[in-house]
Amino acid sequence: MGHITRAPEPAAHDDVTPPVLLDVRGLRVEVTQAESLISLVDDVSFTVAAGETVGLVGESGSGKTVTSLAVMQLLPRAAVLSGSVRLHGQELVGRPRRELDRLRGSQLSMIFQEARRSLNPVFTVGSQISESIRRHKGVSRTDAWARTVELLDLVRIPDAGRRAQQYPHELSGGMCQRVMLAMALACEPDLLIADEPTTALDVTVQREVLSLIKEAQLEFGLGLLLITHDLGVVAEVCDRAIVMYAGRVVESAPVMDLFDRPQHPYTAGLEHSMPDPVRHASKLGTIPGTVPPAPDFTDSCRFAPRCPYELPECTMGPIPIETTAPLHDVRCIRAGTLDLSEAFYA
Amino acid sequence: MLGFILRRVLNLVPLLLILTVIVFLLVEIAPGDPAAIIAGPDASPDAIAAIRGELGLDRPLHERYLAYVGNAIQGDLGTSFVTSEPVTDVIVRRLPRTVGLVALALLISVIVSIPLGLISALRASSIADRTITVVSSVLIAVPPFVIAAVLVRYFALGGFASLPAVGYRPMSDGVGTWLTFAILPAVTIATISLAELTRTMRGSVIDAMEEDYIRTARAKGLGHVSIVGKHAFKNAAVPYVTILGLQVGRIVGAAVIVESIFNVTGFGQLGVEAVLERDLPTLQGVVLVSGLIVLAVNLLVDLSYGYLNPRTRTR
Amino acid sequence: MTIPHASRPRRGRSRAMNRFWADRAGVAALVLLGVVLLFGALSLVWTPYDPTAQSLADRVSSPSSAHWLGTDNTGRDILSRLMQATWTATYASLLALVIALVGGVGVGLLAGYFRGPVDRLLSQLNDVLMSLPPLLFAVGIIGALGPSLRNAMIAIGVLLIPRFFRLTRITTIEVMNEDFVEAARSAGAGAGRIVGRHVVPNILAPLTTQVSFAASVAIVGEASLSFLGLGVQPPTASWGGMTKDGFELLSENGWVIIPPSVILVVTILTLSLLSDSLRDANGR
Repeated sequence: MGHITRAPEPAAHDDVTPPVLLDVRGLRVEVTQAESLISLVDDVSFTVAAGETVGLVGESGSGKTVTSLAVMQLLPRAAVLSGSVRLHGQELVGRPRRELDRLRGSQLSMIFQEARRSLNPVFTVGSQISESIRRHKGVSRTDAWARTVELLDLVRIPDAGRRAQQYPHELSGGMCQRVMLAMALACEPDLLIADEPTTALDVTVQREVLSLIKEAQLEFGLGLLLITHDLGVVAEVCDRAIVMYAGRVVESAPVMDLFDRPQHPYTAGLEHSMPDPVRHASKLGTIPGTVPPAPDFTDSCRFAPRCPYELPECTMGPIPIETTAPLHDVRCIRAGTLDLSEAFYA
Repeated sequence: MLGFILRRVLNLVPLLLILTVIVFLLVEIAPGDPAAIIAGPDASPDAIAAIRGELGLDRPLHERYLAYVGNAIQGDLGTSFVTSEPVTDVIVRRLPRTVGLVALALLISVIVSIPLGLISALRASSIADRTITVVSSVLIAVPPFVIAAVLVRYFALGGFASLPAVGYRPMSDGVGTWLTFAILPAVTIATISLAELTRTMRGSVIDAMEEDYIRTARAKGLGHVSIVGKHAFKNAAVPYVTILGLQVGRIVGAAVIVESIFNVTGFGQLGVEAVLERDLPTLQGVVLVSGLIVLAVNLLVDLSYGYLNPRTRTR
Repeated sequence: MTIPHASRPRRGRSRAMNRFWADRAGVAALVLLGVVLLFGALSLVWTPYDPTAQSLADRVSSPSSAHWLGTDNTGRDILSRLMQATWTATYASLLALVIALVGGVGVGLLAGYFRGPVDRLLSQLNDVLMSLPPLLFAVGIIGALGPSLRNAMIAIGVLLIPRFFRLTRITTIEVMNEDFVEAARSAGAGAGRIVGRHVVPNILAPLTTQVSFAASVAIVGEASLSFLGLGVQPPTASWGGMTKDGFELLSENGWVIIPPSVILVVTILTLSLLSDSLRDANGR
């Protein structure tokens, strides 16, 4: 163990490529369970640039949420974090809490899946936003409140002034998520992490919130790390996608590439199970088998038991990530040799 | 908000009624004839009958009940069998002492349990936490009079201090003097609820810290003090206040015992004396007033929910 | 309070029982409790001295070879009195528990079985009972009926009714809602049969937890009331009364108060441990 592979810097830079905002390398998260150390996530590397939307995709158990929390340095104390997470080139791992507190909310923000539960029920939504502003900007109560109402307006909450004085239980799920967004944007961060922001919402509301997030990104020039299990969202909103399986990155590519030429069997399997009438009209299947739980993670390919292209070599040793096409990385020894255009599980 | 308050007050009415009925019936279930007791062992049947007529004991039950309630509303709770003083006067004289004691006890309880509970919660499973938990568990098991004995042994009869073990001085004698007499009984009473309150605060802070909104607070970059002291604490306050309200009944009960131990001649001790002397009107008065106090305190607790937890206001 | 799962009646040792026996602390508590009970029961056949025999010459002495636990303010042997007091406490709590069980379970069954207005009325009464400050109520009852152990325990027993009422009522309601009960009823099974075969086995386990909680309340209650002179009347020995005697002697001799206080606190702690253990075994 301990095989850290550095994700290569995106090759073919031209001079107008925006600067790298978030640089994650060799991220590894371990927890102690029953006297042994189990890794939840390992060898995770990716970057997010300003203005770029990167999707972190995977099923539950893939480690995507753990990764996002690790970036924010919000893991519980029992978790052991190693590797590197750099924001604006500055290392976050191992920084003292006081410094991290200064950065969180002001340079990097996060919004969560269950918005209403993520808001404190005994304080008004407005006060929770103002709190963030006053904490990081040190302005007066009045100024902070004025800015709060502006922000609520920005996220298109009608009657913002009155709503700001309401409590979370008085708002709908969609409105709560907008409030969270407003709160996350309050201090003009550079990076926004959104963990399944629309999963808990109604379908109609989902699109609104998603488009709102994109607008905010454009307006503020944010780097956006979007965690989701929904490939449809990825296709619509993301510039790049990083597919995770059982705690590891298995494929990462620009979105068009990912959908046109998936190189990892898992990615292909995911795409084939999408109910998308345009792309895969006839065949709709699910990948048989289940994601292994963390204690059962192997060193070698973790997808092998479910993979129809498995070879003995797949389970013999660690599989490194390799770049098989420009900006396209895959963790599979048979990458490039397989025809993954048709569903093989249906 | 006003509607909320009004609704809560109205809820009390049936309880009040039942309280008065119970209090009234206490006399009915007592063996013996009150008139005979007053008249004395050598009185003639006529004399007893005369007294019965005087006391109105020959009228039907519901009439007597209404009369009792009617009088009570006007402040007349009858006359003591033993001292012939109006019960109301005695109560008014002795109640403030108990109120002072109980208030001091509550203050001590709250002031000690909140920080202890917070420390326990923040350093869960540490030595400090475990010590506090064990001590709390033991304290819950020790009855108040045993605690009183320990306190008296070590703080009144030499040992660490020489506080007075019996008696009471009203506040008009100076707050300092009042305190030296009130502190031991108040601490004794406080221990009744201290353990439970500390455990509650610890548990509810721990629960609150697991909630999603704490994760959000951390993601906002709020400091530890703000997260625990403001976000977690205000949520933990609700179960804490609930338990506090429930403790009031126990505290009042404890006051009864503790007052007798320290001879504070307060309201609680009045109740005990009334029992020992079979002074029924006084006993009735004590039970009625205590019941009213407990109901009033419960109302206050209920109302404070409206402030602490906005979700209840709409109910 | 936890809502128990209604389930088909089980034969033989249930899982809960197994869990309990596996908990060493709980078993130790049970054993200790047994020792205390035996200590008290022994007083019925033998005590070192007559618990009421006074001997003013020997008054207020610390432990010695003649009197293992010393003597009290009138020269009575503390060990003998302690044994008698332990039995008094046992008898008193049993009395209170019986009242609470018969009252609480009986009425709870009625409320749960019949539902409707009967249930509403009984539940309301129960709520009132629960909201009264306990010691006050006890003082009131004793004040009306006269100070005696019997009256004190009646008061305490009545005060313990609500917890048994709630448990029984909820379980009965749950059981009544089960399909197999509907079937049994339509097949003509009478109320007694349904209750006996289905409700009772389901409340036995959580009942044991409640009983041990209630027992510690009863013991503290009896001790407190006896301390005040409202419960056990002298010269009968009681833990509360003995503590009171010791308390009054504090300036003279610090020992006399210790035996009754210690056994009282130990018993309460043991019961507390036992109830925690039972509660954990029953799966909360």
